[in-house]
Amino acid sequence: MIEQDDFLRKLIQQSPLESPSDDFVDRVMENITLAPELAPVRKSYLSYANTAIPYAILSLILVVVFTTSDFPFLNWLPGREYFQNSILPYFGSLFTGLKIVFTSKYVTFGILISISAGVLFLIDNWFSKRSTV
Amino acid sequence: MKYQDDNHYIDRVLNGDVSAYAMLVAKHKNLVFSIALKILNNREDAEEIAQDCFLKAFQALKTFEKKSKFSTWLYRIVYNTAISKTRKKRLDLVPMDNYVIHNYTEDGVASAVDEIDPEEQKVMIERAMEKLSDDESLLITLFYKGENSIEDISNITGLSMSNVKVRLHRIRKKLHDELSITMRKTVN
Repeated sequence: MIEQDDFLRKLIQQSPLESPSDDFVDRVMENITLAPELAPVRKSYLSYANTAIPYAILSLILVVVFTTSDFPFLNWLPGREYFQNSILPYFGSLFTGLKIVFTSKYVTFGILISISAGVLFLIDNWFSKRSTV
Repeated sequence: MKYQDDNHYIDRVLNGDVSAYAMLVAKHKNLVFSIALKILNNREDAEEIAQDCFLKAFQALKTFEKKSKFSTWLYRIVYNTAISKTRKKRLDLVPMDNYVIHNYTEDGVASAVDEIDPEEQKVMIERAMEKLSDDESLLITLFYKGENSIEDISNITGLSMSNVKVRLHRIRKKLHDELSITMRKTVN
């Protein structure tokens, strides 16, 4: 069978392939110079798992949750009391001014529109990333 | 002309030497054109599709991850683009229960053909190839002329590897039968 396959291979490779016109390469290269730049590489979302960014964000969230929650089993955390009694009220006073803005229904409506647009953008981005050539 | 490995040209293009892409085009143009022609059956359309595919491949070159061969990636682009253009059905699957291995090595066609003049051999195989359908001709071109593996062809056409094997086996048998008939005619 292998000998037979080699025989056919040899025979078929003798017959030439169809070829395009003589100036084919030139025309392709001409189109390339007229075409836009190489398409930018779109990074896969999974590739972000190899960077420090998601872990830093996760750590920050955990720190905030652990230090602000009332779970009794977290009382052992050093400096937790100081954080709750001194730092948090300071941040609270920082955002008091903004609180008025965010309680306005117009602002809330604007925020809702922005969030919806953001979600739609992410969905579109996700699907266009998945499409192949 | 002796070409270097595809990755050599790809690296040069990605480093800003766009002219290196001409070498990739020159190296693959005949097979790309042949694939398009076998699907479209029209030289002008095939040439247009081949050009478009080289342009598409150039623009997407940064996304080519070198996990597969550049040729497999390029031929898949050509296959998909040409199929979309014709809205033709993709290659049909072959039911596995029809897969019967025929022993076609018995009648000594190989040794008989070997004794014939190379020019006549060429004519004989071309005539035998003409008897194949477009799909069969495409598979045989990818396998023997493009030197693609069963796995590569499976990636290009979307057929399962076992189906590619079955189809190739049947095509070989068909070609062999055609060659036997031609040989008998030549002898008589």
